[in-house]
Amino acid sequence: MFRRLNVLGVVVVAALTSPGAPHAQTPATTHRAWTGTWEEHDTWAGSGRVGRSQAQITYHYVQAPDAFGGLAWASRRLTWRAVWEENRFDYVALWEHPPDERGFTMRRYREDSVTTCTSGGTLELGPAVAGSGDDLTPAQKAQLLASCVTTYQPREGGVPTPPPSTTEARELVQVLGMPNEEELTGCTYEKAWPKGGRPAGSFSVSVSASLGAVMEVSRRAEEDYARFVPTPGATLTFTASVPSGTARFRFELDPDATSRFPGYATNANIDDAFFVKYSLSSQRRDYKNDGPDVIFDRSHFENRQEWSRVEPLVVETAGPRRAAVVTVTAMDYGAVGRLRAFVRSDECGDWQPVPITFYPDTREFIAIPMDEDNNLMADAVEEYHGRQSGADDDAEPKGNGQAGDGLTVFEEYRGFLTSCGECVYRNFDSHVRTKPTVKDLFVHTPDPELEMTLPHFAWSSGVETHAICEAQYSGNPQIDWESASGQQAGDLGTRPAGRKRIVNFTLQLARLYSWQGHVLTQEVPQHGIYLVNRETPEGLAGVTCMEDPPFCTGTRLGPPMLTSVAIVDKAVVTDQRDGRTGRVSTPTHELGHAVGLPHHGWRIENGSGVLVRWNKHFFAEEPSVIPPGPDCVDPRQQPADNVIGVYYQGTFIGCGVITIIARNGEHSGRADCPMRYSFGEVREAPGPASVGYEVVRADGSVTGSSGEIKPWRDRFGDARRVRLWQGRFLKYDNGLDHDALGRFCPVNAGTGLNGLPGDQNHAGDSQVACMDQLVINDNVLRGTR
Amino acid sequence: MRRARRVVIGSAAVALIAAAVFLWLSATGATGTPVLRLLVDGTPSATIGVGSPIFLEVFLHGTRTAPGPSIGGRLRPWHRMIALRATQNGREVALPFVEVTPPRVRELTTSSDGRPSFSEGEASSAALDGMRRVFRLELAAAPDSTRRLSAGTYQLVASLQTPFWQVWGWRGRAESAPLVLTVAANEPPHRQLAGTATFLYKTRQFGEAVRTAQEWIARDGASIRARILLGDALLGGGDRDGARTAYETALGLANATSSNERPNAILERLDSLRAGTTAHPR
Repeated sequence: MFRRLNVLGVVVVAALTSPGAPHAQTPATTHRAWTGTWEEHDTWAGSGRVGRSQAQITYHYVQAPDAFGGLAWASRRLTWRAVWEENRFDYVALWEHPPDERGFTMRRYREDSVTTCTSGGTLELGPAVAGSGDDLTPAQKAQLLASCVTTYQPREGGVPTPPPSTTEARELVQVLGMPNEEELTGCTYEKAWPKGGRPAGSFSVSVSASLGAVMEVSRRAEEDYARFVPTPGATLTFTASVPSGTARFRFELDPDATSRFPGYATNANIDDAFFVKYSLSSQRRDYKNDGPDVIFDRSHFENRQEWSRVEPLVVETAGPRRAAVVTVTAMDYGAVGRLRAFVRSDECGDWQPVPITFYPDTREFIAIPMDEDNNLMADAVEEYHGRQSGADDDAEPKGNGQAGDGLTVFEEYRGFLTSCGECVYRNFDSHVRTKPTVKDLFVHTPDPELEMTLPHFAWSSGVETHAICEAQYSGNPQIDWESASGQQAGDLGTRPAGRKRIVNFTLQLARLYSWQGHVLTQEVPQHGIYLVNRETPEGLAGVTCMEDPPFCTGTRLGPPMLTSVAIVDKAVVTDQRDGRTGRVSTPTHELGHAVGLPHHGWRIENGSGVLVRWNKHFFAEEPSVIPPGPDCVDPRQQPADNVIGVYYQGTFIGCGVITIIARNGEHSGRADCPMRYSFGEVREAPGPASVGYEVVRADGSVTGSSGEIKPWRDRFGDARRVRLWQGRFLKYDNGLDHDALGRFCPVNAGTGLNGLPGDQNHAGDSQVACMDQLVINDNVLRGTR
Repeated sequence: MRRARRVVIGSAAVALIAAAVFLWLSATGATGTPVLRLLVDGTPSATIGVGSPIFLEVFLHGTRTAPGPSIGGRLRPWHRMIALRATQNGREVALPFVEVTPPRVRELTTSSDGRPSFSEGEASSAALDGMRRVFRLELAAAPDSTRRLSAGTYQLVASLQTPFWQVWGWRGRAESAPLVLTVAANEPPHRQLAGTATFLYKTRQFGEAVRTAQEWIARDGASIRARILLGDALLGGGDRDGARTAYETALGLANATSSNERPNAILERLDSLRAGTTAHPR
């Protein structure tokens, strides 16, 4: 079924059967380093199969005298990487099923399959006795095995469930042997071989004096390495040295293990301000948005007599020296890199890797930053230590129970640029690494007065709230404010395919969901809120729009992706109570809607976190009239300002009102909750529900204390039909009403004027505890839109 | 003797000048940079029609990383140092603006339990404190001024410049990001009336504001905003009953809409009327 796998490996049994005398042209020393690379690749197609393979082994063997005066391998280290993939098409396979009606348990099906094998790592083979051949231990052989996964896909519709994927371990590479001394040319050995007329593999070895170089790195908490947290422009230095003599040094940042995350923070792309702010002007011309996140900045390697080769990922000393100090520079708040060091003898041979002493270990590379828990994040930042990069489980505030804020731990660690000044003064942008335990919300508003209310929303909700400028998310929604139909052609950012308002845009727009097996960002992008001061559709102080600006009548609230814009009209908000109430509570209220908080009279239609309006209200086409009662007395009998008597043929039938505050409606619940409405005219009295009415005729009214019945037109036009509500109604006492500047309510029990006893109780308990509906995480919409 | 006295006086003068220069230099830029923002109709860009007023807001505040200096004082208030420059295709355009409301400051304070609270008032000295104090100046260009503009795109920049002779406090210059204003040749009449009525109201020309608001209502009978403005203008002119009628009509219209929000702005105005106070937007 499978092609022979050992095509990948060079089956060369360790051939050091007779080390013999050192070759005259090889370094005349008792310790010699044999370094080299073997690589092979292949592709094949035909007979319903398409495949490819690629493998590389680098090795470093050190040869030393043994106890008997001969030479033996004192140490052997292999680093290998191999991949093998094959697709098989349209072949017949036998599947096993439960017995059918004829008792058969096996059936034939036509299917496709894909097999992928991968293998890689570093193996210390240890010393070897001369002539012992391939002396790998069983554990070492097991480490070299590749892990293979085969998945099956039936070609016919309607077949039973195909077999699950299968896994197995296979041998992809075998241990290399060194060439014989006689096969060396000078101090090197080169061999290449073709396959089918094309180059297929090569094997190269060089022999040099073992230089015994070392690079020591301290893991002590107070040392620079352990304290290093990547910030653009931040540097770390390392020193490699040889114990005696001199050598040339090379330092490499592993291109495969050095990140190239787009931008330099979760919400910041590289721009001109970047180079100024982080003093990286030497990189301005060459450094790209997706450049390596750890580099050798040429400004640290300007001395040409000291450094002959200076590239972003490789530097080499110009000549032999005892030691070399190298400086690496971070270019990203989430930078990840791997530094390797090499030395080369002046006389002969190739670059030898420098072992890195990282007590108590010896390693072939050093991770930048220090990341012993291998989660891509600097161990120095305690808050993220031990957490999975892709986790999103911020628990506070609890809200509707949906954990997370749409941002992975890695995105929170990489952090966000926040601004003031509309991104004009980029030097004053602040970088913040957000807490992985507390939900975060990002809001862009051009208006500084609205921006300064954000701390109030944060305090009311417990959500960490950050002000950003337009460049710090993927742009404002494109809204046609003049749309007469309400249809929007522009990108509102309210759908997964939209590209506007995305906060974690650097990774999302690049679709870089994972890197090196670590999750970076989630499936659904996380959105910020656009909060703007402008005219509202219907003269309202504020309104939150879903996908329907400029009308904004949608009711599918939260999470932020669903809110195209939150509007506050500063020109309409009054200066009631010194102007602080409306100007702070209105933006707080609208931002509440943007994260799913309902009005207190709304009911939840289902449990998916999506609200549908259930308004118990008293709005009507006909003018509303409440029946006579303690707060509705015929003004001809008891003159009173602000009472409108309504009459039919001279008989008092009730009082004209415009708005009736419903029990358990939008004015109900906790008195200081910003989602609760305040101000009213009359209210339903506590007791049995009074939602019934009858439409009756009326022909006149008395306003205030005039006592004169006027034709029914000074207030309600020519209407003759009025809606006469049934039940008891009382005056709404605005003097008792709170400024709604407290916290969003965690329970639905009424407080303040809604917690008073008997008839003093104004609107009672709310339908919902609005904090139970808070949802920040846009991933709640995964698969639903 | 006389020569010695002359030397002493000369030395003292030199020392005095040196000290003054030192103080002057040390004051420059020592306390951070003020941030200036300029918005039109609440955003960094807008479109108006020829003959419609332009409403601008100039904001002054500090940065999060540096609180900012103190600018201006009783002798020369901060808003007197603000200048506006309008250009079209790089050429300066004469466009006079008037202050429509007194310069104000909003201040955010935080209590020991973390609860934020806000206060508002007037201030001649702008003592910046990051985003905790935002100073605001509201300006408007009259309809007559914009009637002279040709259709096209204009850039407006606000700048803050201390006079050269000022030797105390913060000295320097700050500029806002350019604001893009598109002036269209045509605009629906009700929009122009809305702008004009608002301008007249904000500049306390209540009688004219009432007349224009009524004209606006005649063209756009469903406009709740027109009724609110009419009520505000009537109230400004002392007609409380007229204002109440206008607000009540606005409330009736608002109640008939399908909006999810209640017309609290109107209810608050009505409540203020009943309580005998006023509830003007500032």
